[in-house]
Amino acid sequence: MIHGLPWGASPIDLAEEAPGEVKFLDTELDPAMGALERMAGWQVPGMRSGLRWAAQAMAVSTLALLALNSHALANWADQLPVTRLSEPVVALADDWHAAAGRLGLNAVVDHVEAAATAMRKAPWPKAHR
Amino acid sequence: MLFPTLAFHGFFILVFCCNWLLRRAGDWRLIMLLVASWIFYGWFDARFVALLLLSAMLNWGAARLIVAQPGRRARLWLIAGVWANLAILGFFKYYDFFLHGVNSALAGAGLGIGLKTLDVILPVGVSFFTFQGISYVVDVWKGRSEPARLLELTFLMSFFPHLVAGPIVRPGHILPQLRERPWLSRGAAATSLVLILWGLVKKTVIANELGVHLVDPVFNHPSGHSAGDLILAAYGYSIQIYCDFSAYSDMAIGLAGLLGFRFPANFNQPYRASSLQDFWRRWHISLSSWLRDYLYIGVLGGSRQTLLRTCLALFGTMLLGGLWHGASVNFLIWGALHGAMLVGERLWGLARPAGLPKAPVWLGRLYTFHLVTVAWVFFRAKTFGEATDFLGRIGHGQQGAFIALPWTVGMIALGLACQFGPPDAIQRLGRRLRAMPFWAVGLLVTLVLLVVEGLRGAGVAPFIYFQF
Repeated sequence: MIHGLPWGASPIDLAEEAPGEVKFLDTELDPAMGALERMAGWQVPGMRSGLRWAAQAMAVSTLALLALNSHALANWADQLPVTRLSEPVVALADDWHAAAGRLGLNAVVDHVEAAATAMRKAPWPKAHR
Repeated sequence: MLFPTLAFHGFFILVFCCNWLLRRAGDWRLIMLLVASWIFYGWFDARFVALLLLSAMLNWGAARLIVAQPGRRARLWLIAGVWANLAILGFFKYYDFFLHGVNSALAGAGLGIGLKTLDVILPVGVSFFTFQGISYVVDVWKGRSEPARLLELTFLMSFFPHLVAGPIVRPGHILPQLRERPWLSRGAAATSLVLILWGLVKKTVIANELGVHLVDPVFNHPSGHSAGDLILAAYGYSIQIYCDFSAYSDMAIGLAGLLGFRFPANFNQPYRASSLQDFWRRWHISLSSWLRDYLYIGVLGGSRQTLLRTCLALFGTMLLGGLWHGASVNFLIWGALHGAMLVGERLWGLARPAGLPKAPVWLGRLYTFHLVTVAWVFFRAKTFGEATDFLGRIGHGQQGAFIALPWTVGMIALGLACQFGPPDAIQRLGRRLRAMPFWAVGLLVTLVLLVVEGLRGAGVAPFIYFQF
């Protein structure tokens, strides 16, 4: 019988977080806790705050992307089927894209896009001469 | 719904929140993830959600009967279960291919009757979920996995990160995870984020750029290009398919990781392999280990038999592995090439004179990479003739246009460089990320996504392995 994926078989497994024998020192053991969680290397700094840390990082990233990546929002809205419901969404996304452009929030994507276009066209040194 | 899209981003954020809010809710969490997976799958074609459900029910029923009636009857239920999966796969994937073959044979024999083809639509990911179903009934029969409840099995086969292009997860690896309350360490979260970001870069930058600016134009019109372009396009396809497919696997593992699931690795720097056998330990590991365990050893007898039978088993496994990719003669040829070379390597290993010095590792890597690249030409070309014609034009040193630019060649170099970096680079980056405060990680993720957005040009092509 195979009991779960061995530690180290997944790329997200870090050696120092490997479940051990008696690493969990909390006296109030939760009965719903699974074997791996019970034996996890809790002494690793910050290990217990994984969920909060990941959720906060994703929240920051999503908010920052809403502000700085209006391109993606406008592209997504433009691909929506034309309906009465989608019209205001498309208008809102386009307005935000324009406003973000005026505020200079699209600068990162615009600069990378321009650089990528130039790099795609760059010829071989010999042909350049 | 493709991973590198805004729609998926919104979908995943919602699923992530619900998943962890339902952390202590037991089966309700699985039900939510199952419904989310059906929405994800229904985005491609809602009709096939029913097929997914039917397939899960068939496998669940077969396993129940295997457990309920041990002995000879269990074996019969096992065979019935495996054949039910193969029937689903065979109908959707090979029915028309088979009929075309029969019709050609009938026409060749001078018989004017032709059987009607059905133009069957291929459900996305059918090869992956049927293989998962087969491994479940076999593992239950062999006692390698406990029988799952219908909810668990339906979830196992439908879970959206691996549903359409793998990795093919084993029931014994995942079922125990479903029965435990999920948890997320900071290291696992950080490494998952690294995998998702690196997958995005590989797919939307390297694979897309190579596909659009080099591989597709050259493979679609090989007569108009010089031999230099053809060689670079062949190398380019090797890198494109690696970056495309491994990107999907990386993102699937990372997304599952953020939801509290641990998926096995699916790629391990395959182009640094120094033999073809080594290559298959590094490429699409979940499929190659599936083929090894369930076909090569389970059905064809493995290596504990006469040399001739072992070689035939090896060749047959690779041939069927090729056919698994699709109903095309080219996939068979691709599988046959790999099978023949694996047999050749095995025989050479036995016949090699004892005093002969071992070839240097770099030579083995060069040989393996080029062998795999030639085989990819058959995989990429539409017909056998097109593939031989492509290789013939390289052999003759064809003159013509040269469209490969430093940018695309740079992408090939970058794809190759990934193969020779530290094997634990993802974990190392995960550790660095883990040590950073959440706001810095959030801003770093944003920066990478903005750069990807700027680099990826217009839109994202579907993943190559979606067609399998």
